[in-house]
Amino acid sequence: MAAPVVRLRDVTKYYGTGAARTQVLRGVSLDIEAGELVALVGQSGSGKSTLLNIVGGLDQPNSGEVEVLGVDTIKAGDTKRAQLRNQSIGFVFQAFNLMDHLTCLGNVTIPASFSNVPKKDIDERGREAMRRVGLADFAHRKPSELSGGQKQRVAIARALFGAPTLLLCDEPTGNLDSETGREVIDFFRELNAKDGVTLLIVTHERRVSSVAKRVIAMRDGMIVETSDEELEAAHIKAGPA
Amino acid sequence: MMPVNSLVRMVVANTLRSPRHFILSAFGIVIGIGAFVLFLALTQRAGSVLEKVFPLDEVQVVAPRVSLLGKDTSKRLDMATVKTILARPEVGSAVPRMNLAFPAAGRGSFEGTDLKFEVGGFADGVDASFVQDDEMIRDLFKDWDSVKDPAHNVACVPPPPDPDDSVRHSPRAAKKPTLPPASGGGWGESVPAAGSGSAVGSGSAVGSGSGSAVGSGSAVGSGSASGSATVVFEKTDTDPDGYRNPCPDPDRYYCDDTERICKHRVPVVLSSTVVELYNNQFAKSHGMPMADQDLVKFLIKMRGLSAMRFSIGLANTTISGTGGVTKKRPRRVEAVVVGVSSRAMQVGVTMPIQYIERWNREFMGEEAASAFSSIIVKLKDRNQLAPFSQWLVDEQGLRLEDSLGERFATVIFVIRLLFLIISVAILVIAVINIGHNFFIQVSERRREIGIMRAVGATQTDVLLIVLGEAAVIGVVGGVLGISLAKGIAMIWNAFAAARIPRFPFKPDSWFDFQPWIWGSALVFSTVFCILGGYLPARRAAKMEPAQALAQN
Repeated sequence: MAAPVVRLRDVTKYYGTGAARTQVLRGVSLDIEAGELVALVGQSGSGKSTLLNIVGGLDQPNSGEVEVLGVDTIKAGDTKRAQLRNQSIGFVFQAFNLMDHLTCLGNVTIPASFSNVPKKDIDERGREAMRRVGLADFAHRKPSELSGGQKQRVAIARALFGAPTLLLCDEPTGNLDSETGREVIDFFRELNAKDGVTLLIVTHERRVSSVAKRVIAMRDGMIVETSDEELEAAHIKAGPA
Repeated sequence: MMPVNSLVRMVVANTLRSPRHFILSAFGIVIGIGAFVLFLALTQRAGSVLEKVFPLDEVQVVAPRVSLLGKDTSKRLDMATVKTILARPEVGSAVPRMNLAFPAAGRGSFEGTDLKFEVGGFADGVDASFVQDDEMIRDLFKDWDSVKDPAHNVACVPPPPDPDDSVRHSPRAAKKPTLPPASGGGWGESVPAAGSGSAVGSGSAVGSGSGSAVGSGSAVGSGSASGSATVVFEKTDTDPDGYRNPCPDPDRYYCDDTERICKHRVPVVLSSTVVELYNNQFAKSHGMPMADQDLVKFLIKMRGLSAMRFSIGLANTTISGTGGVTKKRPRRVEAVVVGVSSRAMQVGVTMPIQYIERWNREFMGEEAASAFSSIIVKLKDRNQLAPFSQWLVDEQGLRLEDSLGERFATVIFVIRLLFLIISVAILVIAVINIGHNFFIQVSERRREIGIMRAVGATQTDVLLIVLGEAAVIGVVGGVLGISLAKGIAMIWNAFAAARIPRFPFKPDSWFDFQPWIWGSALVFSTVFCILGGYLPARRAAKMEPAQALAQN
């Protein structure tokens, strides 16, 4: 069996020092295999977003081992981690995180600024990513002219620009209405099924976790058994609504 | 690291995106660099004007004044001293100067005004080869008394002594000089003396001369002293003195009182300081016409020297109650200004040293004819000045003259330093301001930086982007600052030309924008801005992306 895409061992993370110190992760170990679609659920403050950031190299743990796509991201250093984010990992955030001064195409092609994509390929690849999310005609619009769902699709197109093997999504439907949210989730499922992209989605909406092949629940910085009660408690009971 | 073209594109786009931030940050830099460039250009100009006034590449060796019981026991500077100095490896050349050692008075007319002035104490001699400023000087500045010139050194009758003054008024040219055409060949021929031409050639001139010289019997009586063709003056209606210079080529030659032959006038050069002093002090207070240096040079050339000549009464003085250092009878010689030279003594007249030597010997004895007043030394390398000076003091008992130029150079250096400190202070404040602005910017753009980090920007990339924006402010602020300085300089120059009265060495432009000045200004500006942007840039780079992206 191939090495897991994500491999965490005893990962701990705290913020602050002294009396103000808050333990966010208390020894998390986790493997995610290639092609998995994993939902990470839990209440606010359970540490799921922090875990996602550590997997993506956006944050550093205080102890433990992190290996993503075969790279030890703790030892690898900033340049290697940046390269990993640029070429193999895509991020989708709840708040979209688009740059308002750029056009949609400009946003989608930002990753090209930090790699050596040939200039003539940049626009082409950007337009292809936008076409995939169904926004081919929005290349020269500004994000401020778009609806929430359209913004999130631009953000997804940006995440797909580098043709990542791992997509990390933090509450991707949190700012969307249910109809739009469903479209986004459908798109993720298709991406997972057709392109074999591994997805790790942080959510507390059960319609998201319902499509996941695997649901990991967290509480107080630890992974817990994913019993139905647990899911109920998090208001994210699996199964058809 | 991200590709350079991406970096440049992003930096330019970010700069254009926030013009307010840009202007706020650049403002201080523009002012600081403007002051920096303006001050440097001003002091640069001051330095070059100073070098015009005091040539700094040469030093004067003098003997320290020592007196014992009122008797001067200073070390003598003589030919042996010159040779010793020349033997030093760091010395390029050593030229002696000799002062006139006894009183002398000058008298001449300038633009119709009869001027009397002191020459003793304001005259010195140098080797003719040392003064080579222009062609005219090269032609005329030499010891004419050692030149054998039978065509000109003819016997003559000198003018009668002035009953009121033993220094006689410099005789005028045969007729009122008029400006000859510029193409009129040599200056000698271009102002022909009507009377003198015939006087040389024909014996009849003698007769007519003696007849007219009734008023001054002594002149007639001794007229034949040097034999054959004696030329005498003619009386004319236009000349109240009744004397005409009888010598051939009267612009250059005069009839010597003592030897009673025509001799070339003593060539003298003036310093530009004298010309400036005349213009700014004398001309104004005496209601005389102004003449700048170029005009003086032009006049000397165009008017055939006749306007620039004067008499020197050796052993005479205009200062009453002084004199008596020599028992010799005063005698008169004539001199002519042949040019303006940087080698002339600052205030006074400078002539070939042989004249001074002869006169000192004649009036003061052999001792005075061999003692130099100073030795002008040119060093091969200016940096050798200190060891040379030390050697003079330690081994020769001599010293370098306290040069006014050196002292002024020090003053300018201090002023320049002061100005630089002020400019740098402005720049430092500007840099702090830039740092502050960038801290605000970086904090405002936290999310943007987080996004860039999430899609693959390294810490170095973020650092370079922020520093790049600071550098753009530095370059643009520098260029604007230099333009500001140039603009102010133009306005000031125009104002100064129109409103500020002339003063010695008043320059046309008060600022000298040397390439090194604006070059270093640009470098400074950029470096300072990058320094100011560094801490904010580092903070931006070190921020964990997750923290940057966190919702506020």
